[in-house]
Parts: sequence; structure tokens; C-alpha cells
Amino acid sequence: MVFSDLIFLFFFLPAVILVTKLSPRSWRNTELFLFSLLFYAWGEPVYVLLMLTVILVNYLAGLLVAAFPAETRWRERRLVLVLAIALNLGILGYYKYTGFFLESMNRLFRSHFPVPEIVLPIGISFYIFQSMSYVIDVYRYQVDPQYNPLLFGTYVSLFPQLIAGPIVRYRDVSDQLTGREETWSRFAYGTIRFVYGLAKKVLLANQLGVLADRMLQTEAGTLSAWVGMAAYTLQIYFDFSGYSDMAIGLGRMLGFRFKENFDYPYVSRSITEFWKRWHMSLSSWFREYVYIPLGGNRRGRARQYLNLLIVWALTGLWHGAAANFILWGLYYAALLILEKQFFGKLTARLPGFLQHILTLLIVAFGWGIFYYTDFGLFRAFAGRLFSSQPDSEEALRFAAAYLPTLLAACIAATGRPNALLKKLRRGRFFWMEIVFLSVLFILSTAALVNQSYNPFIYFRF
Amino acid sequence: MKKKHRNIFISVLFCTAILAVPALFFLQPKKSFSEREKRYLAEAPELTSQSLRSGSFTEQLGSYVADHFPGRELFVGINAYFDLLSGRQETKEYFSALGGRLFARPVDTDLRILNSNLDSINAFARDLASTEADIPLSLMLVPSSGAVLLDRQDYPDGAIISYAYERAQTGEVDLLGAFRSFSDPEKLYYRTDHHWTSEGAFQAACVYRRSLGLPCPSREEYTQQRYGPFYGSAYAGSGLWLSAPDSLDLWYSGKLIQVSNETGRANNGVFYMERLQERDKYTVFLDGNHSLVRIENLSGGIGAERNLLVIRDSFSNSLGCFLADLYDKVILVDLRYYKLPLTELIVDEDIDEILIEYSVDNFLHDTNLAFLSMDPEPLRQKVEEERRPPNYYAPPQKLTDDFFDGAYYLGDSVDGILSYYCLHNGKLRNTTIASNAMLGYDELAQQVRKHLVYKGNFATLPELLEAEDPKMLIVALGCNDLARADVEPTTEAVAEFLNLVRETSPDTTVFIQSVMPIRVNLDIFNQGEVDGLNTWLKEHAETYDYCYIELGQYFKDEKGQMAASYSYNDTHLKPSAAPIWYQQLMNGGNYYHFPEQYYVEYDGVTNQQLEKAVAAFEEAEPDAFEEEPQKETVLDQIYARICEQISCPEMLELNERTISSYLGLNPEDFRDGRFYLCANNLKADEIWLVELENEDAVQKMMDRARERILVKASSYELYLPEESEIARRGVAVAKGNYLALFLSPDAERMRDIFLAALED
Repeated sequence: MVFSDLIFLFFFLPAVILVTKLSPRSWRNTELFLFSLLFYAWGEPVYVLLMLTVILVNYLAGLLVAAFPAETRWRERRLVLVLAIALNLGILGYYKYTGFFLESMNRLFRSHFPVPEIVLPIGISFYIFQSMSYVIDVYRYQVDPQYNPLLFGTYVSLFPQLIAGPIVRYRDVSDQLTGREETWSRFAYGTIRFVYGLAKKVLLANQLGVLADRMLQTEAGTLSAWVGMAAYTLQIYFDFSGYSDMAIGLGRMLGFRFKENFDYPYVSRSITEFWKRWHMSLSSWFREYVYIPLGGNRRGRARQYLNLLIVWALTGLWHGAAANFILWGLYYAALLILEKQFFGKLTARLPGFLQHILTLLIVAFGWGIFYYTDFGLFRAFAGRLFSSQPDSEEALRFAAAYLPTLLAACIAATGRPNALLKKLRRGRFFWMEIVFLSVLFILSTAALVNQSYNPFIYFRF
Repeated sequence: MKKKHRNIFISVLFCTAILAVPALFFLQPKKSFSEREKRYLAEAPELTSQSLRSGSFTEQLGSYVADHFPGRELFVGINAYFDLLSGRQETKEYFSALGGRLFARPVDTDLRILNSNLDSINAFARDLASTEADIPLSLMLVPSSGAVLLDRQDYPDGAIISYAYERAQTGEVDLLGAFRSFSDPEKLYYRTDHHWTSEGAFQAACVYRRSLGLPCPSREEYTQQRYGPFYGSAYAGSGLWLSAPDSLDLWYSGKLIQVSNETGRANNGVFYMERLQERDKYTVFLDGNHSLVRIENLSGGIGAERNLLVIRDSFSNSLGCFLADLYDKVILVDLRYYKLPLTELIVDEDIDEILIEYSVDNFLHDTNLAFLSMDPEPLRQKVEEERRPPNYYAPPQKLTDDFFDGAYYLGDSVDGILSYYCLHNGKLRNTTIASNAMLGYDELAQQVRKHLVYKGNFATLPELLEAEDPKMLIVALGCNDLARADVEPTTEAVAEFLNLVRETSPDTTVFIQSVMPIRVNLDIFNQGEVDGLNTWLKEHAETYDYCYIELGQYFKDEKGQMAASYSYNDTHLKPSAAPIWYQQLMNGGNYYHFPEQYYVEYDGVTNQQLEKAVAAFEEAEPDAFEEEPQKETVLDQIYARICEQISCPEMLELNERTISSYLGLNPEDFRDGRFYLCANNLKADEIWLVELENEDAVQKMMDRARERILVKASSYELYLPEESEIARRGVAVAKGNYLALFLSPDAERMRDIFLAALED
């Protein structure tokens, strides 16, 4: 199930709220666990068993790691950790990367391995990373192991963050699992966050997606390429951050407090800043569990750059099992290294808006790499960007029709509206925000309902 | 409001919203069909372990919830108006422009289906052309309202239409040009529907008629009735529920029209008024979509009677209403439902014109034109039949075998062999052959009064004619008259004979066959005289109203005389010439002044075909005297013994079937029989050897044998008196079941041999 779905909004969510709020506190984690399993099983009726296996493996690994004290039995302790990581990565590798790996092998070595068709279990990248962070944290004594399997299961499968993040570390929510506060204030805030997230996803990201696909797939002009790149840049932000907002909002309604995942990344004035604001839970995960263990920046510049390359290649690969994602990761590795080493100091002297535009252009071009899994299509796209190709009248009309949407999205991508709303919320005209939220919710619902509205025109011929 | 209260308010508001929807969902009655969307809504899925595992249960549950979402149409409207306000509406399937008029988006210009549709049409056009039928085939592509009304370059309708018209091997109907130059183009299309209005359909009908040079009525001839409100497909598709509705104009011509379709229900008039009560009022025109609609205009169309076949989409629902007035019959075929070849429709409904009407949109997307086909053969045949000239009467080119049924054939010695041939082969079966060897034109009237001919009993020809009034008399004489030399055939003599016939049997048609050529020129007469006689007979056919049959040329050699292979040195034919005679007797080409009452009807079959039939007939002519292999019997031994002892002339053997039918005997009375007769008519020799079944048959046969003696003697009486004498002295003898007849100078010796042989 996804959040932007009528069944979730009007059947699953009210059921969760009714059941958990009306039952004793001590039942609520179990209820959440069961609801989460239902949530996951909705779209993946079979893979729910895979998730349960992952939960069980990591639960046991956590116990075992804790059972071997580091002072006396550090070998066993490390062995369990290594096994657990291997198992987790094995599962992730099998389900996510088998096809890509074999296809690459076949292409590189002209071999003929049959490529199995494995359907990617939804959210696997997220819950594997979360589970691994738990075992590593236990190993590092950063957190106590969870002895209650139901609680551990609730943590891994917790539906708000199950399928699209943010990647919540166990140590950030371990206390909340047992002792979270459920107040009107949290619930109201959660509601507001959720509706904003829903509107971002449904009213902005989905619409921008239509524009982006049209411009990047069917059109062949220069302007189309630029508009498409801009639209996709905005789409991916509103899609992802909208989802994170909904996750954080839902968590809040249930009493959880998840860390922020996006911090207006498109206001950044450098690539380094961008990555501090974009998908923060992922970049911090890689920093903490890959970059720093590899030595970070403490083993000399060369090693630091190597580490950066490794981390960014993996970051790219995490986003998808295709070469363009690795390329996209390395693109950022190169940019970050270059920025640190060379032009960071130069650009810092430029006026702020130029730094901003430069950063946006680099990021947007990066999304171009991200968009096309076919390298040939990407090359054609890049060619269109930097040469003058005529646009069809249809493309221009289409782009013009989406101009208000694009403008609204650009404004929404800055922190201004939010600051304004926060101010509004504190003042006398707080009700205006409630009206605004209601309108957004109705419009979002309308957009979702409209997806099923298919007048059968052909019937009329 | 305190902060806490505000939080409670927001929380409760949200919870109310998300709880109210499921509550309404469960409480409200579920519709199964959406009128507006024209489709059946999803049903609640069945929960099975299979549907659960595959994920289809949750998927279907999703569609079920969406389809029955409370206030669904309200939300669709909200979404549409939000799109309108945010500017995106123009990119939707239907968008609003020109003051709230709803337009369909420009069609995408993928030409794949269009090209294959053009291929189908061209194949059909070629089939149609191959029949040479005078049926004009036209293609009418209807532009979308956007292409006509909006000043936008991204509507490709114009380019697509020219592309299609350039490639289609059909007539073209330029609607786009006509519509754009129309005084008020907005009147041509509905505001909320993709179809044309009645005005648009009327204009289209006229553009089509003019493209074929056919007249079209003026608008003033119709009275209009307005019905509303009408919300069309664009309205349903746009979700812009606040758009103003259209109204439907029904144009009445006052003609008496009957409509029926494949459901079998008939309707008076082209409008189905009860449909005006429904949401989709466009079906008032011809009841909407049907696979086959048949419109009959009982008042008659404009101009000459014409029937029109339309291969169409839904634009022809209203177009058909106008075409109905203009034609005597209009057949509408929708290939989405009608998959049969159109041959039967075209042939059986007498189609004069074919129109293929498609909207540009459907022409780009509908693949059902692949079913456009016909079998050219039946239409080709029909065209051929129609082109054949009207039936006429003329002399037959070939006479049928029963042509001379009931006729009298009056011959002389020349015809002896012919009569045997006929008997032997079952020819002229019902013709009375009445020969007398001495007959000649010089004194024919006198001769036939004097000499008896035989038909059951003896009578003179006038007596027979008077008694029976036969429908035809064929006179086929040789050159006895020329041989007599002293009496030349004269006009008077022939006229006298004909008068005799006319007097005794006025309804008898007379045929006179040419005199056969002679083999050797004699002192008393020569071939020149024979030709002269024939020329005379031919020239006088009209004057004396008889029909002359010219056969001589088939027997002549290069010298213009009887060919050696056909005759024994005189004027008599050999048996082998008989088939040629018969064949040419049946050849209508040899007849002059053919009697009109025997003209035959020609049904327009080309002469070529007839000639073919004649040739086939000639080839099929069997070899007349091919003998069936026979076992040697007692009779053969007797005959052999006779011929050993007595030198017979060259004899011709007839089979018993021939003889029994000639003598009127029951073939079952015969056990065996041999009949021989002199191949040359100059001798009267004849031998019968018969074995019969019983006494009665022997008795009957004996009577026939005695009659035979008399007939033969009589027919030779004036012709060859010695031979007549020999015939008269003929012997008929029976012993036990055996019977013999001997006409021969040695008849008595033969009888002795016969009896002796039976003794053995």
C-alpha cells in the first residue's frame, strides 16, 4: 500500500487511528506490528514472509551479538556481526541486484547466464538498512539489544517509514517504542505534516511527473529538454520529500518522532550543502556505517577521496540496480571532491544567487543522469540540452499549460511558504491555514478519485 | 482559541474527514453502471487464497473503492476545475476553449493504423473496380471540432486528411475546406460533444452529394425541432460539470422513412424519440450504434432511384438521417460489429454508391477497417447480367433433336439410308419418314396422290396430311425429276404441290431440303442442273413460303460434285455420310426463310458462347455405325451359310433395337435378331433372321414381315420396277421360334438354307 491511495487514506488510516487510540497503550505496539504487516502484505502478499525473515534474522543477530561480550569473546561477536551483515546484504543483493549483475556480466564477458526475473520487494532497501544499523549499533554498544521480538518487529515494519523512508535508526526510536508520548499537539502536527506531504505528492509531484515524462520521452526540442529537466528535478523532490513528510506526519500521529529527511535542498549554494539537505537519513547512514568505518577523512587525502568514491558509488547503486545510478553516484563523488579541492573556494566568492543557480544546474543535470536508464537516450537528452533543436507547437503548449504548476512548485521548494505558514499558525489568522489544509486535502482526494474516472469514450465511438 | 483547542479541532476535523468517507461508502447504495462514464463500475472482489496471493484481490478492491467513492463525480468536477484554474486543463483529453466550448485534444499522428486502413480501403476499391460495376466509392474523413474551430497549428487533421486522400483510390469529400468556409462554423459541432450537429451533418451530406454531382435539397425544406438539454461525450470526459448544455435539433423532411437494424425492430422515421429521455441523447439519431442499419425511403429520394451503402462510425448516426432523405435506400454498416464481406449487401441491396465515413480520430485508431472486404465475383456476374442485351427471337442456331417431332419426312430413294440411320441412332424418333423412291418435284402433287406411303397402314400423303395435320412436312427429294428429263420442275409443279399441302393441312410448315449432289455427270443430267434446281428452290422459298434447307455443300468435293467418300458412284449416300447429313440438318445455319413460329428466344448469351456450345455439340456426335461386339449365334451361322452359297450384295447390318422400334415390337419379344439390308438403295435386298420368345411374338413378327414386303415393293414400284418385283416375290418364313424374311432374287434358296440350317 502507498499513502497516496484511497484505500490507505480512507480505510486503513482511520482503522489504525480508531484501533490504536481506543485500545490500552500496552496493546498498541502489537496492533501497529499487525497493521504494518497488513500494510506491507497489501501490495506484496508473499514478500511479507521475506520481511518477517529479515526481522527474525536481525532480532536473533542482535541477541547473539549482545550475548558475546566484546572483552572476552570479541571473535564470536564479530563473526555474528559479519554473518548478519553478509546475510542482509545477500538478501538485498539477491532480490535487487541479481538481474543487473548477470546482465552486466553477460554484456562484459559475452557470457550467456540466464537472467531470472525477480520482482523487487517493495521497501527492501529501507528495511534492510534499518535492520543492519540495529545490529551494528548493538555491536558498537550504542544501543541495548531488543529482547522483545514484537517490539523489534514493530520497529522494522513500522508502516509510516516502511517503504520509502526515512531510514530510521533503531537507536533513534528505541525509547519511543515503549515510552512515546501521544498528545493532541503531536496528532495535530502529524495531521498537518501529512496533508502537506500528501499535497506535495499528489498535487505537485504527480502533475510534474506528467510534464517531465512528456518532455523527456516524447519531445525532441531544446526547450523541452530544459523544461523536462526542471520538471523532473521538482518532481523527484516533491515526490520524495512529500513521502517523508507523510511518514513523519503519520509517525507523529502515532506518537513517534522521526528525524527530518529533507531540508529544502534546492536552496543550497553548493553540492556539499545540497547533500546535507537531501535525503539526510540516507547520507547520514552511509557516513556513519560506510564512510567513517572506511577511515573517513582521517587517513590522508587520497584515502578520503577513495572512500568518497566508494560511498558514492554505493549510494548510487542503492537508488537502483542500473549503471546510470552508479554513474550518478560517481558524478556526485567527483563534484564533491572537486568542490572541496578546487572550485569550492572560487564559487564561494560569487554572488549568492549565482552560487544557487550553479548548484541547481549541477543537481538538475544529475537528475538527468538519474532519469535515463538507457545511456543512448541520456546522450540524446544531453545533446538537446546544449544544442538548438526546434520544439513542436504541442510541446510549447504543453509546457505553457504547466507554467503555473512549475511556478508554484518552485515557490514551494523554498522555505518561504513554510516560514509564512508557521507565522500564520501562531497569529490570529491561524484558521486560514486550516482552510488551506482542507482545500489541499480535498484537491488531493479529488486528484486521487479522478485517477479512476475513465469515461469510456470509445463506447460512444 | 487556545492552542490545545486548536490542536483538538484540527485532529478531529481530519479524523472526521477520513472516517466520514468510509461511513458513507458503506451506507450508500452501490450503482453498478455509470451513466456518465458509460461503463460498468467495478464489483466487490471475491476473497480467495489465489486472488489474495496474486495481489489481484487488493488491486480489485482498490478499483472497487475508487469506483464507488462517495461524491465521486463531485470530486472529479473539483479536480477538473482545479486543472482549469491551474492552466493544465488544456493538456487533458478534453479542454475548454472559445467560451466554454469543450474540445478533444489533437489526435496523435501515429500513421501506422491509418496506413493499414488505407491499404484495406484500396484493396476493397480494387476489388470493386475489378467488377466494372458503376459504383462510385468515396472516402469522407470528418475533422475534429478543434481542427475546424480553433486557430491552432497542432491539430493535424488537415494534414492527415490530405495524406489519406492522396493515397486512397477513392473519391474524396473535402469537409474541412467546406466547414472552415461555412458562414458560422461553430454551429457545425456540439459544444459538449465531439460529434457534429445536425447542421454539420446536413452540410456534410451536401458536400458528399456535390462531390458526385448529385443534387442536394435546401435547408428550407426541413422543419426543425429543438430538444434539450444534451450533455455529450466531451462533457462527460472533461468533468467540467458547470458547462452549459447543448440542445439537439431534429430536422424533419416530411418524408416517409422506415428504419430497421440488426435487432429486427423497425422504426418509423429516423429519430428514436424515446432516446431523448436518456442521458446520451445522441442516440435519438438512428438509435445510436448498430452493426447494420437499413433505411428505406418510402417517399423516394431525390433524382433517379439510388441506393447508398455507408461504411461508418458514429458520425453517420446523424449523417444517416439526412442521407435517408436523399436516397431510396441507405444501408449503414459499422465494421466494429459487422465483420462479413460486403458482397451480399452490395449485390442484394442493389447498391449504387458506397461511402466510407470515419472521423479522423477513429481512422487513426480503429483497426476494424481490416474487415472491409468483398468477393468481387457475384457483383461481376450481376454487372455482366445487367449489361446483356434484352432477349430476342431468331432462328435457332442449332435445332434440338426433338425439333422435327410430329413432322412428316417425305423422301425418295436417297433418303433410305438416312431413315435407317435415324432408326439406328434414335434420331428423329417421332418423325414419320414417308419415302417413295420415285418422287420428284416435276409431278410431285400427282405422285403423292397416287402412291401410298406407310404409316401403320397404307395411305396417300394427302390422306395422311388431312387426317393428322402434322406441324411440319420436310420434303427431301433427289434428282428423279431431272432423270426423267422430259418433265422439268416448274414453278407450277412446286406450287401445285404446296397448294395441295396447304389445302389438306393448312397449319403444316413445309421444309424443302436441297437435292444431294451427284457423283458422276450423266447424259441426261449433270451437277449443273442439280445446282440449278437447288438455286431455284432457295430463291422461291420466300415466294411460296417454305423453308429451304441447303445441305449440298457438305458432300461436295473440289469439283463441286458428290465426294467419292460419301457415295457409290451415284446420288445415293453411303451409310458413313448419314451422320453428316443429320448433323447439318440440325444446323440452323443451313436454313433459309426459317418459319417465324419456330424462332427461339435468345437470353442475351453472347454469340461466342453459343458458338462454343455448337462446337461442343459437333464434337460430341458419335460415330453412327460403330458396331457393338456380338457373340456369334445360331443366326450368324445361318447368315454365314447363306452368304457362302449365294453371293449377296454389300449388306448393312442393323441391330435389333433399331428394328424392333421401327416395327413397333416389344424388344423383350426378341431373343436374337439379325437384319441386313442392301447398303445401296438401288437394290431392294433385305434379310431378317429372328429368334423370338414365343408363338405370339412369331405371329406378330410374321405380320410385320408381310407388311414389309408390301411397303418395299410399293416404294420401289415407280423407281426401280425390277427391284419392286423382287421385293414382291420376297419370302417370309417361320419355324418354331425362328423367323426369316428374304427379299432377294434368291429368296427361295435362302429360305431352304434357313430351314436346313435349323434342322441341323
